[in-house]
Amino acid sequence: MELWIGSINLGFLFAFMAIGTFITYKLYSFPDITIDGTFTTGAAVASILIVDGWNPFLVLPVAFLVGSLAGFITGFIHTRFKIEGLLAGILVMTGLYSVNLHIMGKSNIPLISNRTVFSILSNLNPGLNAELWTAMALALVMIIVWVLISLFLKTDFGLTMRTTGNNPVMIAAHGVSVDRYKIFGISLANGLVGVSGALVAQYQGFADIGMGIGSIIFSLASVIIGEAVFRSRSMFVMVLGVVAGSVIFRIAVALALHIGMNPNDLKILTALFVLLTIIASHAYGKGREGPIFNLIQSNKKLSRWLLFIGLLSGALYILFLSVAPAKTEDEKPRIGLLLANQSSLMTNTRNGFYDEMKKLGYRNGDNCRIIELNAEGDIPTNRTMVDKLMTEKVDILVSVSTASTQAAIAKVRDIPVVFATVANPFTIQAGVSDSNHLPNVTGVYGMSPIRELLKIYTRMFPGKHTIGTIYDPAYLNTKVNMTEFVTALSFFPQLTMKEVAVAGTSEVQQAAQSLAAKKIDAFILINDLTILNSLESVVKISRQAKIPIFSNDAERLQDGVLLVYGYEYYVSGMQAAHLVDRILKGENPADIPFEKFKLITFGVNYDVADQLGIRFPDTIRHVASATFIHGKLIKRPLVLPPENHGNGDREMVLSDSASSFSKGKK
Amino acid sequence: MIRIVGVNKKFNSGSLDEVYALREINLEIREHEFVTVIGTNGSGKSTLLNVIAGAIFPDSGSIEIGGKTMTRKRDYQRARYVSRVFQNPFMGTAPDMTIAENLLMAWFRGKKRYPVISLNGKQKSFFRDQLSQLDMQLENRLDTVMKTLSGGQRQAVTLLMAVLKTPDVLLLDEHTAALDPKTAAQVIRLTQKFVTGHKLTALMVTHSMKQAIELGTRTLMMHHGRIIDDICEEERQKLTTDDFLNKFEDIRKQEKLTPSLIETLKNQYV
Amino acid sequence: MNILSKRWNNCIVLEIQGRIDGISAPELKGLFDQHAASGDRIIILDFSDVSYMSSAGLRVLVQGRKSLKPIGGELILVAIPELVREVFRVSGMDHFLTILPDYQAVQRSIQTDAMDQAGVITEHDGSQYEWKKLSDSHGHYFIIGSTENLSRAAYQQCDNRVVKPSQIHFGFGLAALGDAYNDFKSLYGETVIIGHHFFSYPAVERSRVDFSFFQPGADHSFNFLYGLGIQGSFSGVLRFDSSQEPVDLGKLAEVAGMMTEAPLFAVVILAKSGGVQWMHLKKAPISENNPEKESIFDAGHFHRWMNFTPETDDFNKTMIACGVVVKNIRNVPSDMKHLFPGDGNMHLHAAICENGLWSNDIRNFEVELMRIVTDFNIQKVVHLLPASRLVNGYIGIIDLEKN
Repeated sequence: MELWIGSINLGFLFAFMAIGTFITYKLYSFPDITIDGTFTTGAAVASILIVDGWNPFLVLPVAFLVGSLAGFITGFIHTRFKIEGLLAGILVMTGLYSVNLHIMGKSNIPLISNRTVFSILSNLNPGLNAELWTAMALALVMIIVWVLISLFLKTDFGLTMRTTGNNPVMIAAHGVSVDRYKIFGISLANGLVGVSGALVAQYQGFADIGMGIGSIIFSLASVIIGEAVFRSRSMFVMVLGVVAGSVIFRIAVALALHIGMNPNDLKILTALFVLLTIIASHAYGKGREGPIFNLIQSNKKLSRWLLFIGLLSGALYILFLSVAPAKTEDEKPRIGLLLANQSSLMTNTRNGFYDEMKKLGYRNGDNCRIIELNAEGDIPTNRTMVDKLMTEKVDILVSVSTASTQAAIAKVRDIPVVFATVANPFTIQAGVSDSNHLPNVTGVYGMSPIRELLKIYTRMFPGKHTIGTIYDPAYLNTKVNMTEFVTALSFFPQLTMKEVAVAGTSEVQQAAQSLAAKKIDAFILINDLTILNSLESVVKISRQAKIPIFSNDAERLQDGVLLVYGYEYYVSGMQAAHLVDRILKGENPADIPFEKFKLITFGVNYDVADQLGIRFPDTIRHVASATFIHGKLIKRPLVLPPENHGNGDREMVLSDSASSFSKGKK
Repeated sequence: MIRIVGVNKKFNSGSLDEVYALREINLEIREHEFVTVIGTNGSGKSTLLNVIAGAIFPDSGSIEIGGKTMTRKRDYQRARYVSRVFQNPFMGTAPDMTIAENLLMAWFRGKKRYPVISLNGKQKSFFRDQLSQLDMQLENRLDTVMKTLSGGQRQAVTLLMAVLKTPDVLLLDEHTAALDPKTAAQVIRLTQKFVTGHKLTALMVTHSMKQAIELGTRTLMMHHGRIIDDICEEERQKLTTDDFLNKFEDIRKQEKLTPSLIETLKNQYV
Repeated sequence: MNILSKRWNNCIVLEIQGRIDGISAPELKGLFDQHAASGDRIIILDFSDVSYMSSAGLRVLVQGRKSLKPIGGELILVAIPELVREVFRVSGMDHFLTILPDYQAVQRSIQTDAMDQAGVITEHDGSQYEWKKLSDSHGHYFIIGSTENLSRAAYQQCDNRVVKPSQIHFGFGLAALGDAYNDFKSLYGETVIIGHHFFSYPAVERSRVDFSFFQPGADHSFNFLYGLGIQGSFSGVLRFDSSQEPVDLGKLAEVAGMMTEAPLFAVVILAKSGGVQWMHLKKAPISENNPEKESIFDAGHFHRWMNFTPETDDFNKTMIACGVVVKNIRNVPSDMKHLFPGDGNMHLHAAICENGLWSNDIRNFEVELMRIVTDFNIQKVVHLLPASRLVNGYIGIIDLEKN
């Protein structure tokens, strides 16, 4: 039930965006991509103001204004410089990305412990189911918005706006500045999208730099569904259709997830759906020729019926699912596992978790059931995934990654949540210290040990050095990692740092080249997914310029890095398994302190050392827990130390003193 | 009503296909004059209309409408004084809006539009009366979407829209060219009815010599951006369409004359 | 309905199969018009396979007959089945139309008609010519006025020459109708006279052909600035047919010259045009019109005085022309020299009409000529250039001697 009502709520919140798209797409006949950026801008502005202590209702008009401003810019460059609407949208959207980052200051702002529209709303709850209560309140809001927007579009001003889109030449001949009305329309649309972003951020409990990506397609899908279901000329019905379309779309997403569809496939399905519907609606218009158009035209009635039957059966299925009693699987504990994406961080954590669970005697499907979901990189999907796991009646929820954990702790209060592979649980307000945290939440965390990595470097290469690093400010945790990096540097006055920020993997090679040109002595790489995903680019420059790479990512040793020092996320999964075991055995998560990663991997790559003409000192060779030599990786088995042992390996290296480290070319 | 002084307009200026659309046009149109304009293709007759309407700015020269200088005013700023009907029947109306909504847009020509709903019963009955003038049984189809009408019906509605709020100047740009002969005749009848009924100052571009002679009070002939003939009321009554044809033919021949051709012709004549 | 066309004894035979009804009748009509226009005169309709004919079919037959009759043609219906015959009988049309039982009857009917076939047919450069000698008589010419003042546009009232209609049988020149000089002085224009009928094209803007039909005893006059008058009858008539590739006037004059002994002869042409080149004055060449005393052939003035065809013009129109041709330019009588332009051996003026049907039977030439002169609507009268091309028609020849 939660899943479905949650989807309706999301549908309502996204309906603001869909109405915006309705204005640009149906009235002005171009899909305004600006909204991909504006959605995030609305969320960003709202979050930053809420954190600053603003009234969460008051931030909505601000989000509207800021969104409108973005729309104004798109409209302005579209009309003034005669740049095509689509291109103008792309330009502004791209620009907004930087703006959004600046507004937020980091890539993610949690609102979990802040007063939001929804927390205020739930305080007024007379005792209904929380989601149902929200749904009722939102429904009321939607009715008001629906009536207002529909009426507005029927006024003289609204009619003129519609005519401007429908026939600009004619309306100009009747004394209307098409440009002004167009700018106004696009501004209004983006204002609504800004509100949508502000509401969604408050609903899911955080704003994220990537939350707007793909909005335009989802929004288009909503508009198109609405149009297909409510075929009418009446403005009221059309706007109602858009709201309904948004809700139907979200329910369809939930349904797809429910029946076990890969969220990755969901995107291509959405894209295909939008494409097909646009082709179909073109075919409805007269004068189009071709086999597909003919087919659709000759089967107009049939296709309407098929759509209707499809929607009906979907609705019935949902009804059945929500009414049918959930299968209570007696004693077997049900464990929900939520992953944010398909990166190696996630899969290694997952594998660690599964393997260790097995060692602890839990056999999936036998004496426990692990229900695994992956949000496939789409941040809002995490929220739906949590809802979905709740409907599965899991006894414990394991959230891997910061984004998933954020979604989980924002939503789940009554069952234990164990997080893993989270850099800093305090920034997302899971707690204030290791032992003082949300009562149902515990987990494994750890910042990349950058200070230790620098220490190893200075031991290997004493004296003054210039080091370089590359980072993508948009990537989750990078801001935190970089702050840590800069702090760590203050301990090593002999090091000078050159840093280059990139936006996306495609810029990494250039960044590396520019650093090499600045004659740096080494690349020190923090755990930034953008950089790690394009490590090959850095390695290439490293080989050309004979500059060694030092990395915090323990899993990339074999890929051309000289030395790694960092956590293996496999271990994070193992630790999470132990925490799950403790909770299942009756411990209260409130009493379990957050744990740091217990194993550190210290790896050296002899092949790279050979290429660069570097010889590892003996101390390092002896301490290394992993070596890569002659194309082979040799690792110590990963075994967790006994409880409360602390970070043994790290201490060992730190206490090691520099002796005869040398660097020289062969 | 309209005074055009020394207007020039060049397209693709400076490039290989530079075209002089208007050269040194001087024209004064008095109030209540109904001027028909004919000309060869690319003679600048549509450009002349566009320059008056403000859709195109002249390179030099000035334009006055109703005593006010309009040279640098955009089309929507002139719409208070000028209304237009285009050749393409699809251009003059908003296809996805109803007849009533289209008329409302015309009713507000040149006025500010506020977020209030003024398309009420009273307004609609006014529109109904207006539509009945068209004799096309459209008065009971106020809420019909424009795109379901035929080209002729649309053009008739466009015409009505252009005169709904009596304009100072009505510009007609080959507005029957895309219609079948029967509908064209019907629209022409309406044009005449509206122009004389509202005592409008009108400028009609046409490529039908017949229309040029039979309609209006004055005819301009254009060629290569120039007004080559300005035929007033009395003179027009003696004209036939062949006269126009010959005139244009003459101009074409003039352009082909070379001294050697004259020599050849001379030797074959005397 | 299905129609098979074939040629038989100089006639066209249309074998009709199936029904002639409202749907198929127009097709039959189209075929009639097509054949009539391409010169066929006797059209035979073979009805043996016609299963049904409606009144629409009847109407087409009557129309066909009506259009063929005035041009010397004939519509013959043959082998009508009894059932269809009934339709004719009921409507009474069997008396109006020529209905024959079989082809032998047709053969007889045509042969009696074709007894007077007098032309001698020759082929020349892809064109077909038929020559029919009419008489041995000579015609006479007289010179009217002079072209002396033409190129300077310097004619004055004293240059006007008055000619009475009865004096001039055929002729051409620059002339006008009217009584008072001041009334007609600006109306001089290219003129052609055919059988005493006068057609001129006043050299004014937006001109219209001015004409005067000959009425014996009427007292009016033709006012010439210059011209040539011809009295006499045709020595022969040359029919030509160049449907494949229109033949030019120069070539025709050459062929015509081969038919007559006379070194100088007048021609009267009735033909279908295949692209004409012409000139005519736009302004009467009188001194009142030329205060600046400019030459009408100066580059700057030419277009104001003269209208011309930059390319060939007027295709498929009926054209009647009258003029004079000399075989050798050196043999031109001295008084006539001024009438021959610098580059040529002929001077012709033509009246151009809309296309219409006329008989292509050489025996009908004079009848047809006069019918067209009086019945057809003449659009303009022009000076013909030798490059003009003709599709088919007749050239009547009058051998000339000085009066």
